Amino acid sequence: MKKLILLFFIFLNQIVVAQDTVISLDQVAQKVKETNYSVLENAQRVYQAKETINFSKRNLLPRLNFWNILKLPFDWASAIDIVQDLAPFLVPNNWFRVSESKLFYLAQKEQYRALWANEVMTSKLLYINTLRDIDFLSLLENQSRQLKELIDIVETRAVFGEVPPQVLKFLKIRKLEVQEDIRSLETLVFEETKALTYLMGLPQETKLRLQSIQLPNVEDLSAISFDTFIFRAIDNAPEINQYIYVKEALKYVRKEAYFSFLGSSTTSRGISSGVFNNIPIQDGLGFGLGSSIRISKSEGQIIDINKQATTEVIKKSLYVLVNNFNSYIENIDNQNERFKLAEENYEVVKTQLILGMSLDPIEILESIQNLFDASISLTNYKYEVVNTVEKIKRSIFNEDYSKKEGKLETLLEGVN
Amino acid sequence: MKKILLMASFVILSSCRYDGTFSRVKNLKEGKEKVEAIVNDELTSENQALLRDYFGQIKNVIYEIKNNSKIQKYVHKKFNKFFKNTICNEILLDEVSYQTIMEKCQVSGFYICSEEVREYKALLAVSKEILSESEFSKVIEEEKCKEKLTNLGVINE
Repeated sequence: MKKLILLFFIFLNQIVVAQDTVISLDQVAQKVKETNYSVLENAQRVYQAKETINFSKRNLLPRLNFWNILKLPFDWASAIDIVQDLAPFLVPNNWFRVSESKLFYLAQKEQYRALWANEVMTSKLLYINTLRDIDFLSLLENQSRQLKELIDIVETRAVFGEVPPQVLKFLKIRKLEVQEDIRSLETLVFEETKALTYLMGLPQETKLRLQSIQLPNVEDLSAISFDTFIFRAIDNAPEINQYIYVKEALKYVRKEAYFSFLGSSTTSRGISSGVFNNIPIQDGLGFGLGSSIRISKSEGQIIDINKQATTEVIKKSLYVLVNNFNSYIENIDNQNERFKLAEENYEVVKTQLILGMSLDPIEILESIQNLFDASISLTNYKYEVVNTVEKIKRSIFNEDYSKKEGKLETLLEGVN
Repeated sequence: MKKILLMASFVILSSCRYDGTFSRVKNLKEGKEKVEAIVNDELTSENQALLRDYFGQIKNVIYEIKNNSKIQKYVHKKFNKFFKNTICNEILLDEVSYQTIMEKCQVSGFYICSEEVREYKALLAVSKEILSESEFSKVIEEEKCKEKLTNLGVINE
């Protein structure tokens, strides 16, 4: 009986797995946040960084080290070592490590935020591109139908000798080419859907179905300016905030060097502390202090250089995005006009064909091809606008990418 | 004697440190005046930086107090000495100016200002939690302040 129930549940599970999962663009961000593998891994790192703060704090409390106590009857001088065990709070460097771990936690949160935003953007762009390819596919299928109609007409005419046989062959070749394009595009859509399934952390058995999106009325959009957008892009960039926190932590590393004569700390700085591994700190006050300070200052300069480089990269990509966005708005009329003309041309040719007028099949094929090219171009154009808007939102952390800076997030926990 | 001196210097030093937080609160007045001066201007990067500085300063001060129990104790202890009931009117931006700024922060469907600007009201709600009931009552004793906080949605009346 138990086996039967088990089999029933396995069967039920299979049914559930085989079911289509319908997803909308709005759900992508939430899904990525909840189940994307890279995001989940990075979330664990943030958790570790938070736990390191607790560890550093608790390391200030007395601890029991059995072997140090055992040493005491034999070597009274080792009593001083017990200070680290019984009163670690007397060692200033232990306090600095607490402050450092707090800052590294905030830096780690910023790193998480950057990764999260990138994964969300990648997933959303993939979603949009998949929809675009699905639309292309339907346009190709439409072209295939139009070709079939044409071939039927030309076949009839070829029987009466009105059309040379090579024209019919030429049209059939074209139809086969379109069939091949459809096959390639179907494969591409399949690959994209599987990639999207992975990015959203869903099992590969899931049959993902994407809800279509409302393409924007590009004509209704207004141009934007780099000058008003750059502030938020820079001010909100987690990539830059991360450097600010790390540089703040560097001050404590410098203090550690100054106070090393009161003992060094054995507490870990935390998860992202690798950046300071090359700053040597003497265990005790020695002639190496000057070098330690100079190296830490140099490390500060490296942080500044990286911060500046990151700022310029952000500016560069925003310049390109704003330029693309404005360029799409300016040129949408051309695209609409091209599509309109191609459509009119096709309608004229089709009407002439219906009326039994003698037309060159190649001319008909050309009008079908023109209409197809114009349709593809216009659809692509609108999807490119959606892509650009999405990238701008990522750059200035709007909507799905809106995630508050460390301190602000901590303050607003439970408020909003 | 040495111990007493050491203790006294520790107390004085830590008090100075917390006084820094208080002076940062009072410095908000200057930031608010700068923001009020640009409310009707275009949102250039410089003006956005002014907004970020003022609202960011609010965030930093609240963060500092909320995350340090010693400062919180000190705030409660010295509240009457440092905070007069005119303070909220002096340091907080009113609803009308705030709404004007928020409207400018929306461009072609994008939000372009600092996140702190958007979260101004939520930050004020957090700051309310830091104060005890009697302290908050003292803050809203002044009619202008009460009106301002009511308009900003910090108090519901």
